Amino acid sequence: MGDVRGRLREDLAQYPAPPLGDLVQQSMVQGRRLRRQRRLAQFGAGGSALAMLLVIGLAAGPLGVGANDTAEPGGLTGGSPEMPVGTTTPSPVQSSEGPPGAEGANDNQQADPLRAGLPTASTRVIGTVRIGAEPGGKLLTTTPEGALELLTRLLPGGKTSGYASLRSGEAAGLGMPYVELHLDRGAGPGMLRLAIYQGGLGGGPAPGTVELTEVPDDCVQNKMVTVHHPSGIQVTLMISTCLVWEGKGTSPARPVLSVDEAIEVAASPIWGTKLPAEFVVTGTKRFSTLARSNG
Amino acid sequence: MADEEFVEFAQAAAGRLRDAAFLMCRDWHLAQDLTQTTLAKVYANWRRVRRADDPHAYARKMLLRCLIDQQRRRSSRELAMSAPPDRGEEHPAELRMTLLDAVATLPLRDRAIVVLRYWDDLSVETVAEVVGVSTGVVKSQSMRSLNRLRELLGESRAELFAEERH
Repeated sequence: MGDVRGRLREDLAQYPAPPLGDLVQQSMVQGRRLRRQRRLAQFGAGGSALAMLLVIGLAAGPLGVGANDTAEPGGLTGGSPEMPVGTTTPSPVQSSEGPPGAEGANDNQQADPLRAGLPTASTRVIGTVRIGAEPGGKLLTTTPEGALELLTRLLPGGKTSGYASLRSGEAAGLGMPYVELHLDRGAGPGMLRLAIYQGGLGGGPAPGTVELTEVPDDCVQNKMVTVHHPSGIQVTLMISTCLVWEGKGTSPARPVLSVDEAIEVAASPIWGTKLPAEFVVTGTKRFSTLARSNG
Repeated sequence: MADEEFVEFAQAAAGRLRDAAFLMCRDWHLAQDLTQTTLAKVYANWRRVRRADDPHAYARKMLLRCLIDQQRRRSSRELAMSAPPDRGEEHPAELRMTLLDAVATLPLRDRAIVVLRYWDDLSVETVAEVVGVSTGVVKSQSMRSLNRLRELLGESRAELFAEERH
């Protein structure tokens, strides 16, 4: 047994783990969301049951008048089956959800003494931008490859590398594009991550709103610029101060974009859950080894 | 305070959970996500989990469920892969199959049994509880898996697992 474990440990050493970062903090944020969703679901079920009782009560009332001896199920079901029983059920969708990076920041707005000793994030609105007209022509579902293709075209000049497609968190838009690359503008590579998220219900910041989240203790999501687009789309560009590569560990790196440059990239009207076909098709070819198609 | 207890638990468990996840999926990004999701579920049920005999076993069970869910979604959804075309040689020199490579060829349940039993050093009973099978299945699948690993790694490494034959 020891040999198996020892051999696995040797093999694992070939793939140095990236830092855990704010994983624990993020898991608590995600866990709170799960609790809220569960409570809402329970409330929804309770609300539906209450509505059902009201329907039954309403139906029983008229039937009961002058029909004391007919209060049986058959009589009740003859009442008003079309009553809007489910209309009191609230949607479990959380309007406070955000992209992978920003979700923790949103929850950090709530007072939480627990955060002492954990990475602290602060989010603030830093301005608004004018979002241009959405692209026309043939559109295809945004794939990680397509997102990388567009990102590389929007970034300022430099050599890009280290392309990766990441999985977003379970409750933060699973399946939504979340990509990573390195950009070298002549002073060494720096890491950037971009996440596209579509919010559920309305009520979020107006399109064009720009938020900046700063997490000083997190080198991967050190600065996050989020631009709110129409239709609830949020584009978050994360400016890292380190490089994270499986197999290569972590090393410090300079941020390769200014906040203004990040805003410019994230505010492109092309971003969305669909992209012009050209980006998706070209990206699929260019990053063919990155991932499979979204189908 | 319950939250403080959870943080203490999570900080102690996160690294090992993520290592186990990596051994099962071989993708640090995915392992990180799976660990975060696992801990989120543990946190969401913390009042119940903290009273459990072994919260760590519960967390491993959640991790395995997350991984199974992820595998189920895999066929219809983009899967995390980071194989940049121009980032240079990632695995120099070591062309022979490693034990990690060999473990990756096992079916998910068998992989989980191997990782839980031989990496996490859990008892047969605990592995059975986590995986949701009988202790007999854990024993028999452990044997089969080790035989399979021996085959994949070749005769030169057979001695590594000699002690597992009985």
